[in-house]
Amino acid sequence: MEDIEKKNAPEYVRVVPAVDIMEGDGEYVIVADMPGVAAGDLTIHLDHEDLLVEGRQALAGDAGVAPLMFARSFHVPGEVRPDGIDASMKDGVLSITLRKGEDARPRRIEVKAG
Amino acid sequence: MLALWRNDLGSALDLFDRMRREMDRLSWDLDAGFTGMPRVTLAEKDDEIVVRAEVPGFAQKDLEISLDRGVLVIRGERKKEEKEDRKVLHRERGSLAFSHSCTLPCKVDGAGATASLKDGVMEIRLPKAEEEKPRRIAVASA
Repeated sequence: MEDIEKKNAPEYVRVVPAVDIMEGDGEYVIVADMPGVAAGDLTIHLDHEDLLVEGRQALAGDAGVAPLMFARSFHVPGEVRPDGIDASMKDGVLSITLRKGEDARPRRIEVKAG
Repeated sequence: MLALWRNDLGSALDLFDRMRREMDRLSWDLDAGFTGMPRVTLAEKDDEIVVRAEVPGFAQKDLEISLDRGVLVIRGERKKEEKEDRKVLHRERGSLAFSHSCTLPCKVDGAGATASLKDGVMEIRLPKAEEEKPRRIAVASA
């Protein structure tokens, strides 16, 4: 990972993508603008409660601009199931859905009689 | 036995406190800035002008390009795609419509212009008008 970064570091301009965050019934949705990033050039990594998102633009060819590397991290609420995270990419927009787990919802704990 | 019970209760309380804090919502780092503005760049080649515009979330049908007296105008309008039942916790992404104009550095052949869109990046290629192209003068052999 570090080797890749070192190799590519001089070529990319690191930026923070603009995001919207929504909450729906049973899920959170993160939407991030990452123009020029193909699905294959995107990495999403969940490290404990930190969700790290990184996407590299395809080299712009002869358009004469430095490619961008979009990077951002999010703190994910503990109620999100680690296996309940999905991502999709369309027209340079990344959508990440984080589903809340059943066990994080308010629940009643029974007190047993001694 | 009693000590074990206390430990269990202690961690249960910890968990509740954590849950309450985390239910507060997602947090995010804001240590680096972003502009939210689409990046548009123009490059002049020998025989063409290449304009590259970053237009995430805009489909081909949402974009319009016009050329009038040396000014290129890119307009975009996208539909709101959010579901009604979702609550917005945080918003940074740009508006649903934009207009960007740029003055071209030379005359172009508008009829020969092409535009392509891939992964939210539009590339417009405008061939230079004949009189603007660098001329090669052939040396006739004697």
